[in-house]
Amino acid sequence: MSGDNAFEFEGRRVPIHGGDTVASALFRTGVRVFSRSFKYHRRRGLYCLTGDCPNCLVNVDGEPCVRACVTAAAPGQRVRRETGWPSADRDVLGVLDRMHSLLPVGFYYKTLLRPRWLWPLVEPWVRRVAGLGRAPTGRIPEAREARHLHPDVMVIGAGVAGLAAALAAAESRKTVVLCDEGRLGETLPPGAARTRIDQLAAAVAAQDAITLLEQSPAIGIYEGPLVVLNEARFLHLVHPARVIVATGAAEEHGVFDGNDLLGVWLGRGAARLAGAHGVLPGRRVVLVGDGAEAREHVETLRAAGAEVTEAAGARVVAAHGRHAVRAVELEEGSGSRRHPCDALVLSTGLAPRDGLVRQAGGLPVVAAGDVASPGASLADAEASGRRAGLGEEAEPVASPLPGTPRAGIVCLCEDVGVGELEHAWYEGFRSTEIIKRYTTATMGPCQGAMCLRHLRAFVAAGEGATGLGDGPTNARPPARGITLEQAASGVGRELHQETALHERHLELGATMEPAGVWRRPQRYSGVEEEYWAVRKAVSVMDVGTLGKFLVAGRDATEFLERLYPCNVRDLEAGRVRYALLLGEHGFVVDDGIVCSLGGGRWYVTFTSSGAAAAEATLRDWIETWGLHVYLIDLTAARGAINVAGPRSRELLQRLSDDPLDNESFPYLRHREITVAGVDCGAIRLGFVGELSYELHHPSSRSVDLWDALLATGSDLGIKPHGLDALRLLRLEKGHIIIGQDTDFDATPAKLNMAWATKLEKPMFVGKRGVERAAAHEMERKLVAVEFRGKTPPEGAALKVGGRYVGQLSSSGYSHALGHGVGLGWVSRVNGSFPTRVETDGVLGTVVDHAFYDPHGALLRA
Amino acid sequence: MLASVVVCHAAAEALDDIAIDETLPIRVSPDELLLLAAAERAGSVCTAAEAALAGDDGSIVVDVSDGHALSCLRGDWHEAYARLCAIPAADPPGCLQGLFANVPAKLVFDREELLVVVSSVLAHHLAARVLESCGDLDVAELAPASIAVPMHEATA
Repeated sequence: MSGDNAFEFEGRRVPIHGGDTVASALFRTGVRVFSRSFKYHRRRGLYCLTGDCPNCLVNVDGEPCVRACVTAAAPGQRVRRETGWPSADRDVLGVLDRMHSLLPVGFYYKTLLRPRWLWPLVEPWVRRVAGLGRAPTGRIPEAREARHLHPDVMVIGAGVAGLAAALAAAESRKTVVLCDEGRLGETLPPGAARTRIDQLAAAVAAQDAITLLEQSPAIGIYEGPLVVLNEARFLHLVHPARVIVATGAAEEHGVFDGNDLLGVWLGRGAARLAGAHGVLPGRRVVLVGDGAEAREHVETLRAAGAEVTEAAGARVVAAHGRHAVRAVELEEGSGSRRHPCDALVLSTGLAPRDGLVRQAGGLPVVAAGDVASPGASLADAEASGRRAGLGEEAEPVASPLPGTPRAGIVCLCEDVGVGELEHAWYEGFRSTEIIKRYTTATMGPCQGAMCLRHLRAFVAAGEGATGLGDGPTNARPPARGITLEQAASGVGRELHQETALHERHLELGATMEPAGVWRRPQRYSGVEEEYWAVRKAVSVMDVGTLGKFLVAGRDATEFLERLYPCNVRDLEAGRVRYALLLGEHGFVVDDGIVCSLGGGRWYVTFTSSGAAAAEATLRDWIETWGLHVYLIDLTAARGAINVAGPRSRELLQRLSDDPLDNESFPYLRHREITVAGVDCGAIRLGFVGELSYELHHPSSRSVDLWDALLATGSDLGIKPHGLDALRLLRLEKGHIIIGQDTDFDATPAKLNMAWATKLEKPMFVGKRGVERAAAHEMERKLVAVEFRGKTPPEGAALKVGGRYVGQLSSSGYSHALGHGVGLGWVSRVNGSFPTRVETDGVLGTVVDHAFYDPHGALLRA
Repeated sequence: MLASVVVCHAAAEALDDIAIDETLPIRVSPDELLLLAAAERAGSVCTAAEAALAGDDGSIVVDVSDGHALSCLRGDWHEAYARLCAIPAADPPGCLQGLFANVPAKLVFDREELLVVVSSVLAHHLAARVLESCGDLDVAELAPASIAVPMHEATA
């Protein structure tokens, strides 16, 4: 179809004439059935042509539930109807229309409940049969932007009242955003209103202070106020000082027997089809309605060539026909009379499109034009808009409800007829809100635009009405359909953090992976190669992701003493201690180190992914205890590189004149040294079990330091190592990873880390929890397991005598030891913790020491 | 380093009295003050701030320049700001903090430019998002050549 001014419709070519919508183009080619109704699969054809009713929902280019009447036709589109099987024209499920007695209102609350296994079988079929379309699951959603606008005034609706409001606001030096869900005036037939809109639009175009957003339906009005507009390219989040809703009124839906037959039209729809698109809704038209607008419709239809019978002041008793209207029965003063026709056009009143106004609650929102006073003259609507634009409040005029519905479909969306409402009434549902929920009337795509007033009229006339909740039902966003993709605009734009060495990692060919909020190198070359560099030579790792904090203030020492389960006060300047962070419950939430800087100042670290939560915890306790403590986040300001391996000292000595021997710089100490001209706070640690120096430095110097280490260590066999190698190296030492090896209720004792808690301290966060846990026999704990044979995977179940006793939290093959090693949680068996376990045919031995270098000689070298 | 950022923590009254030449102060909270200055002045600003706070026991001054990335938007920065931030702009001179292009930021408003201060570990997002959202505007994203926009009278 490319290059052809046509679109595809269910395998057929549909030519497009100038200004066509999908609906007008289809109607021109003879399509009459646009959809099948929700429950009874009744034929539904074009009705309103203003985007208010559900009859013309089709699938366009894979997107379901598109209103064909307000969607511009474009070459290359692929359009299909989504309801009806095997087709909308011949729908086997149309037989449901003869089964009303078997499908009464709320039938799903009463039937198919026993036996219990029946409903789960039937439900998928019911959903499939009753759906409005299928979500496009094969397409990857596009990330869309959300943009903010901050005008003084937001005007929703660019009809006569809206345009006048925008102009008045702009003339009084306000900035204005004016939106409309379509193009200006497109849903109006030729006439006085259309002409006036064109004039006002020209004035708006000349106003710099007005931003006009066409085809941008307002989805909702939220607290703020915040108005959300769904434009094709963006979601606009508009933050105005005040909002003017000028969404106009839709023509009143007619409720009578046969009201949903093909060929029954609302006046504006029929006139627009004929006047704007040059297509007759029918050749023999009966038009019911009076007033200036009805007369305009008559002129438009006649000018297009239709034979029109005017029935001003008449009431429609019934529309007759099998699938399409063939005659209409009217009550006309002296009695009923039947008129043959092939189109029945209704212009019997207006229903305000007030959903957005009802959403607004106590927000600074005013209504203007037809939405406030339906049926006002064009001049009055414009004046109403001007007053609103100038900031004048106006009392909305109450619009009388239509007459009590006696027969016909009240809710086109949900297929709720008067009979269903009477049934619900009989069952005792006797207020607008309750009968709405029970019958689902007003809960369909139109959200009550067509049917709410008729529902209220029904309730108001009902004998035994409760009088409660008989006003309009609550309105909630979205006021217009919105896809999940559109609603997610601007959301989920994830932030991930990168260290200053990020580009260097990429240049070295690292595979980067998400690690909490960071991107970290998973591996550079091969895991085993990197592993051996640490074990046999020297390696570097970017640990700049660690949470790093300076703790200062008059009460800094006291604060840390209360916070941590270990002793802090006894740490002299230059000393380092490993520390667990416990919750009040005594469970481990994070870990890190505490460095004494002297003078009552401390440098503490936390895990990369736990740092944000740890910081929040610390600030919480500072505030709770009212201590004089300053916590300065240095995570981004300080880079950190771990130099690890038996040749790490040799490498650093080449780049530093500072003493690095074991006597000058022992294990678990920190020193200020200069490496390759970069001032570093060096810390001797041992996470990977080898001689290691963790160099903390200004992050702006990370690249210089990293480059110097790699260049200088090339003859020593230096390689960078990533997370994969790190996980294996630390596992060989039995070092835990918080969140992987810890469970939510991991006390230090369960982790074999009771040595990290000093219960003799008068208090520390979590002390009472630890003591409480210690008073009971431990039921499960973390153990180290050696495996001979195939290395089991992480998460593997651990068994004793075929009985499940736990699972592995960490597992890997130790290259240095030549067998599998793991950490796992086990429960007691017959009162004791097992010393041997089995997983997937592999036997494991529980050991009570680190697998590699159990005495820590290497890291203390 | 494009510009320096020095954080001062002290009692509110002590911070109220700080006035260091050619610095842009951002009072984050009663007990926290950021001083922005030209790149090469971090050391001297620290020294001056420490001297000013010498009488406040427990105060601390730290150079956190490396933890921040500063960008300056000029040109149609008002439109760019409006698109990227839900909070109405402050009248210049003024500052606020919140999400800018969904990145946590401190924002300093001047008539001719907008200064955006974000964490250095998130800076890579900012440039990309500004360009993505404002490619149709005349917005020049510049590193600040110098913070020559004192928000208070320079003291003698």
